[in-house]
Amino acid sequence: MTEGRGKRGQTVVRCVEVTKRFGSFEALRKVSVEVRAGEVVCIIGPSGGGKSTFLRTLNGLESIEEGEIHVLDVRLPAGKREIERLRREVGMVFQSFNLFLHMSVRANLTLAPTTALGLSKAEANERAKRLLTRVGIEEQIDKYPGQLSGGQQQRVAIARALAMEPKIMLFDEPTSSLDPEMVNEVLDVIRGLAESGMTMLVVTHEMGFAREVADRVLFITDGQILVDAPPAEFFGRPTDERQAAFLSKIL
Amino acid sequence: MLGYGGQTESHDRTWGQNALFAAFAIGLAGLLAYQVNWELIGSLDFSVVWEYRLPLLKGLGTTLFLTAIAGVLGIFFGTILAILSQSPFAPLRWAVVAYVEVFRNTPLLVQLIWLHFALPAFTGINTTALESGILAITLQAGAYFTEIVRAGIEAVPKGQWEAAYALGLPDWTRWTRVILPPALRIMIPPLVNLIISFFKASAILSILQVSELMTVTNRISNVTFKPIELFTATAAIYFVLGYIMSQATLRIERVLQRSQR
Repeated sequence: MTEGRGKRGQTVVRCVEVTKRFGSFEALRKVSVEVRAGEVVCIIGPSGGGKSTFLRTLNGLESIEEGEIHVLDVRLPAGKREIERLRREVGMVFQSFNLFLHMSVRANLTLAPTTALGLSKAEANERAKRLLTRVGIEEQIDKYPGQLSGGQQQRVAIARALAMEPKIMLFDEPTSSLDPEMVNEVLDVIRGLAESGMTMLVVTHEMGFAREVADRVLFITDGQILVDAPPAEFFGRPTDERQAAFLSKIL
Repeated sequence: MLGYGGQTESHDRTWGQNALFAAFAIGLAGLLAYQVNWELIGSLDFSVVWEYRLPLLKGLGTTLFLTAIAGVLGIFFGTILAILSQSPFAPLRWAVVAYVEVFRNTPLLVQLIWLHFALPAFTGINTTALESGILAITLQAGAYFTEIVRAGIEAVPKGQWEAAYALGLPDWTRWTRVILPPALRIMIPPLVNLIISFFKASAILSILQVSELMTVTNRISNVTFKPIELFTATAAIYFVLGYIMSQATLRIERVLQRSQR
């Protein structure tokens, strides 16, 4: 359904035979994949299969043992400065929000733009207000994260990542720790972002969301990408035994 | 002497145990009353304390000054060393561990004498008693504070670090704006407890005659031949100030708990 969106640009993520180990455990095994600008890629698969680890290698939160990853103009593994520069262009949203709890929403949104990008306080503040309006919680700007619901916190976290004006957004199970009634408000924001043409990789358990929003769905298990297909094909005609087993369990 | 022990008191003693305990306490009190030299107590003359109030107060001032130095410099060095202890460069971490372990696991008295008498022999730099005292108490305080700050830093949830990294925050911003503020909140109660410990431990510096409260008390008692009155009064002064500080700690803990969201 979304295959022909025709907005795909140049390659912005290219993984070549990436292997990640935790001790002797291979979390990722020779993973190769490419993502183009504007694509929305949903990553699904069983827990412990390597989805989150894969996502976290893309901004250097996890180092890799073998292979290489090209993200924008940076080639990983890279030095500290390079990784820092990359992270300013790649936004990340976590399962547990990870907002700075001792700071107001405003401070959460303006900290990185002022200190890492050199924006003035006024500019960062304007940007914060604009983004909070975009995620629908502009009235919460002077509250603290602890005063917000989970759904609101996650929307603040998305706005915080967007405040760096990233070229790519990574979502690591953004709705997994939310109460069911709050899942949609967060998915709506992510959906809006996808429609605006943002390049996104989303690790998710929300199959309806993946089916509707994704350009491609990756199925990761045992540290490997077993399936890489458009959603209609992915959900309609499973090609892999484990993929079929996984889908039959959750659909 | 240093460190802060947990409360081991049990709150669910049975009635029988309570009665036994009361009987024992009354017996002990009776024995003491019988043994006490009431004549001596009657002859005590506490006017000497009032007479020498000015030097005593001056000694207390020095004690408080030493406590403040140990606190401020200790926290300063402790914070720097705790941050270094998170360094990816292993020799740096080992150096911090070595410093902390040496100063935590040797008596302050030994450190003091070593720094005052042995160090000048190596370096040729002579320090006054007060300087040696400040050096020893600061070094030991630094070692304990390093451990407290390190524990505070490590208690900051991993997600806060990851968010800071993922945003590409500069190192300075990550430490000063993201990690240290919540770490400090965790650290405050043990920090204040430690400062109370060093307030009491400063009495050891009297071995070098640094003119803090204990030294002054000693000197006055040597002149007046009234050690019992003077040391009783000094004990009371330590207690009152120590108690005030403990109560302040409790207050702070309560306020921090309340502000925890």
